[in-house]
Amino acid sequence: MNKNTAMQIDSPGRRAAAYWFVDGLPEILFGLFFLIPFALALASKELHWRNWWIRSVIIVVALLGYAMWFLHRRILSFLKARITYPRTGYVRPPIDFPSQNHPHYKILTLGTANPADDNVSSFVSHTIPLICSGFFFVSFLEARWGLPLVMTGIAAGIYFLSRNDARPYSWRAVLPIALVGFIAAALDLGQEDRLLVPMVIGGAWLLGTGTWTLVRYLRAHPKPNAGQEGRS
Amino acid sequence: MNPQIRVVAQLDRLVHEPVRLMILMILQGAGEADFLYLQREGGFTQGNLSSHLLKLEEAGYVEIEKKFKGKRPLTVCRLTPKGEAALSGYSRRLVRALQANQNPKGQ
Repeated sequence: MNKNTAMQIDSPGRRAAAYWFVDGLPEILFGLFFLIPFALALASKELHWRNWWIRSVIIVVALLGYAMWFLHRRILSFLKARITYPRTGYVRPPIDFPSQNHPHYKILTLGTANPADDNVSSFVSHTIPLICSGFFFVSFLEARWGLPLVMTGIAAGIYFLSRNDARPYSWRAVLPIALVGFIAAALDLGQEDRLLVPMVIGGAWLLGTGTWTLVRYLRAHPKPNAGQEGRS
Repeated sequence: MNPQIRVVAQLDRLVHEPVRLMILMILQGAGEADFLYLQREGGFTQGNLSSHLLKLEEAGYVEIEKKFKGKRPLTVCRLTPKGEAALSGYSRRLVRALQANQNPKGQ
C-alpha cells in the first residue's frame, strides 16, 4: 500500500478501497480528463488559433473527455486487468460514494454497500468537484491575486476532505497546487483565460501524482512471468 | 466454570483457524478478491491458501469462481451468506466469552 498516506488504513474493506489507487491509474485518467480539453482551450485562446480544424479537434477532445467521465470505471477496469491484476491481484473496486461518516450514507446507499461497506471511496465526489469549483471562485475574484488564493483553497480542501478517504493526500502532496497557483498569477493572463487555469493545474497535478504512483508501483512490482500469471 | 466461557468450546472450528479466519475477514471487508490478492494481503503461501480455501468452499462458506478480466484468468473468491452468518456468529460468541472472562463479577 501507499506509504505516503496520511492515515493508517487498517480494516480489510478500507485496504481494498485503498488498493484501487495503488497504481495511480484513477488519478491519471481524471488528470487527463481535466488537462487535455482545458489546456487545449487555454492554448487556443493564448495562441489565437482561429483555424476551424483546431476548433474541431478541441470539440472532439472535449467530447472524448465527457465519454471518459461516464466510462471511467470500464476504462480503469480494462487497464487494471492488464497492469495491476496480473501483478498484485484483483479485489472488488470500491463504491464511489461519500464517506461512511456522511450523515446520509445509509439512506443513499439503500443498503447496497453491505457487506463490504468499508470498500467505499470518496475520491471522485471530493476531489473532482473541488477542482471544478476553481472556475466559479476565479470568476468572482477578478484581481490577479485571486488565482493563488483559490488554488490554495483547493489544495487545503483536497487535503482536509481526503483525510479519511481511501486515497488520502498529505500536505506535501497538495502543496504543488498552491505553489503553481502563485506562478500562474505571475503570468499575464486575461480574466477569461484565468478561469481555465484551476482545471489545467488540477489536471496536471492529478496526472503528475498518478504517474509518480504508477512508476513506483511498476518498479516495485515487475511484470510476472507466465508461470506466476497463471496462478491468479 | 462460567457458562459464557464454556461457549468457547462451541466455537465454529472451521472459522477458528487463524488462516481461515483471516480469509473470511478479508472477503467480508473487500466483497470479492482473487487468489493473488488474498495471498499477498494475508501473507499466505500458495499451498496454504489453496488448502484452506478448499475447506471453506467445501463447507459452503466461500464460493470460488473462475472468470476472465480481459484475457487474464482470475480465481475470484467471495463470501456466501452461510459464510457471512458463520463469521458473525463466531465473532459474537467469542466477544461475549472474552467480555465474560474480563468481567466475571458482572455475571
